[in-house]
Amino acid sequence: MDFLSYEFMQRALLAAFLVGMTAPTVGVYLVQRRLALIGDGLGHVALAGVAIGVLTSQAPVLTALVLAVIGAVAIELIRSRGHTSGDIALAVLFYGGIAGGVVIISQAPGGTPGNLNAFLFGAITTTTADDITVFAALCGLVLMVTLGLARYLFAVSNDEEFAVASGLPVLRLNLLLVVVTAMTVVVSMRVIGLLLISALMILPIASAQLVAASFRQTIAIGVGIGASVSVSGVTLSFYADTPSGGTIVLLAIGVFVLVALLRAVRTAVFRLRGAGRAEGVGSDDPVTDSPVTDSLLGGNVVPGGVGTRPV
Amino acid sequence: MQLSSGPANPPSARRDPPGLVPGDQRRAGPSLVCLDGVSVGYQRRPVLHQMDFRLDAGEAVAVLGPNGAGKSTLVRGILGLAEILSGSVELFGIPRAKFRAWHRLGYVPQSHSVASGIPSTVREVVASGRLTRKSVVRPFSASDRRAVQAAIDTVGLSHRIRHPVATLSGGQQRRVLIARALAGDPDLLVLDEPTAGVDAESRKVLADTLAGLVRGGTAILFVTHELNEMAPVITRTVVVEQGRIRYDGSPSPEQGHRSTSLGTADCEHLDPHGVRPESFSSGLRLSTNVGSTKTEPR
Repeated sequence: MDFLSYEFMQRALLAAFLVGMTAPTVGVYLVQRRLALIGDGLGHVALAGVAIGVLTSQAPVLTALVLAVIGAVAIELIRSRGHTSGDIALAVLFYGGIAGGVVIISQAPGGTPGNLNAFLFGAITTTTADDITVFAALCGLVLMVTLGLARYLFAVSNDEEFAVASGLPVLRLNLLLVVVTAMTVVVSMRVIGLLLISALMILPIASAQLVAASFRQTIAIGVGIGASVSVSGVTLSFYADTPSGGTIVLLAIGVFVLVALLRAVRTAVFRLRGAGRAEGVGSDDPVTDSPVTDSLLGGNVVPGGVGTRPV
Repeated sequence: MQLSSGPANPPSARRDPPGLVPGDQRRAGPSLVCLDGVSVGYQRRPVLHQMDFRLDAGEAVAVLGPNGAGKSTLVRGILGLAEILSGSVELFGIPRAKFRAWHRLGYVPQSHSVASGIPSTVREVVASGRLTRKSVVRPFSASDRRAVQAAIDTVGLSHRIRHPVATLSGGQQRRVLIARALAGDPDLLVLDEPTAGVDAESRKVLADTLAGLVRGGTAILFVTHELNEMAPVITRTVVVEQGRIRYDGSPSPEQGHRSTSLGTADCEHLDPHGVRPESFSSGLRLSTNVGSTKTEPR
C-alpha cells in the first residue's frame, strides 16, 4: 500500500473513485436511449473547448465544459426536432469537435496537437487539489440529477412516446440528461481521457445489465463496477507503469467479458438441467420462477415451465 | 377503477345541451374528448381530414378500419403525438394546449414489447405511469406505491411484480402497459392496437380486464383491426377509412341506431357516413357504401 503515501496518488484515486461512481449513473440512461456513443461525440467537442482554453489562457476545464454543454443541447434539439437523425448529428459533433480542436490548438503560441494528449488519453496523476474540489462539485450535481430524477429519466428513456402522451416535461428532461452527460465527460477527461470516456459510462452498465433483474439493480451494480475498475485501474497503472485511462478501460472490458462468459455458462447449465427435467416429470421449478434467475437466463421463462423461449 | 381520489373535474365552459336525458351520466359533464373539424397529420401532410368526434364518460369506443386508414393517427392527434393541422381538440372540456390534468388520460401505445436494453421490473415500468400525478420535487409516497400495486393487481400480474418485463410473454407485456396507463388512475384509457400479435387466451384476459374497467366507470377508446374478444366490451364503434369517419354508432346495426338522447353539442355535427359494420362478432368486415342512404345518425 506504499502508493497511498504519495499525495498525487491519493488525489488520483479520489478522482478515479468520483468519476467511476458517477459515469455509470449517466450511462444507464444513455444505453436505454440507445445513445451510447454520445459521450464520444461530446468528448470531441470538449476537445475543441480545451483548445480554446489553451489559446485564450483560460482554464481548459471551464472552456471544455461550456462548449460540451452547448454541443449537448444542440444535439438534443436537433434530435428532438427531427431535423436529422441522431447518428448524423453525432457524426457532425465527432468530426467538427476534433477538427476544431486541432486547428484551434495550432493557433496557440507553441501549440501542437501533442498538447492535447493529456486530455485525449487522461493524465490522472496531474490532478490538483483544486481539480478534486471541482470534480466533487460536478459529480455531486450529476448524481443529484441522475439519482434524484431517476423515475422521470427512466420513464422518458424507457418510452419517450408514452412520456410525451403523459404530459411529462420530456424535452427538459432530455436536455438535462445531455447536460449532465457533458459535465461527466469534462470531469472524466483528466481521469480517463476524452477518447475513452464513453467506456466508463457504458461498459459498467453493459456488465451490470447481464446480471441485474431491475433498473435499480443495474444502476447499483454499474456504480460498483465503475468505481472498482477506476480505483483498481489507477492502482494497477502505478505498479505496471501504464497509462491510467487505458488500464481502467481494459479492466472494464475484462469485467464485461468475464460476466458475459459466466452468464453464458450458467445459461447452458440451466438449459441442460431444464432439458433433463423435460424428459422426466413436468417441472414446477422454483428456481426458474425467480426474477434474478430469469434475468440470468436471459430468455423468456415459460410460466411454471422448464426452459426459455426468445422474447 | 379508483386507485385514489383524483382532483375534481376541471370546470367546464360548456353547458349541457338541450334535450339532456335526466340521469344520463354521459351528459353530466363535458366530453372527455371532443374534436371539431380536426385535420391531423405528419410534417404538414394531413392523414385525417376535417374530423368531428366526441367521446363521453362511460363509453367504450372501438376505432376500426383498414391499415393506413388513420386510426392510430386519430388517437395520436388526441394525445399530442401527431400534428393538429386545423380544427380544435378539447380534453375534458379544456383546449388541449391548456390541458394539464394528464393523469386523467392513460395511454397504451402500439408496442409489442415494453422491454428495453436495461432490465426493468414490472413494478418499475408500471410506477412510471404514476408520474403524471406527481411533481418532480415530491417523492414517491405510500399512496403512490399502493396505486401502482392496485394497477398491477387489476391486470392480474401481482405474481410477476418483481420480474423483469423482458421475461414476460407478449400478452403479459401488453398488460404491463395497461397497468402503467392505469397507475395514474385515469378517467379515459386510450389503447392503440392492444390485441395485435396477442394470442387468443391473452386477448380474452385483456378483454376481461377492459370490461372490468368499463364497469368501474373508466371510459375507453381503443384502436383495433378486429374486435374478436373485445366485442362485448364496446358500446360504440367508429369506422375510419381514408382519413375520414365512415361510420359512428352502435357496434352492431342490429342494436339500432345510436341513441339520439345524446343530443347535439358544440362538437356534434358529424357527417353521415357510408360504411357500416356488417358483423363485428368475428373480426372486422366492412361494406363500403359511400353515398348510401343507410347511415347511422348521431
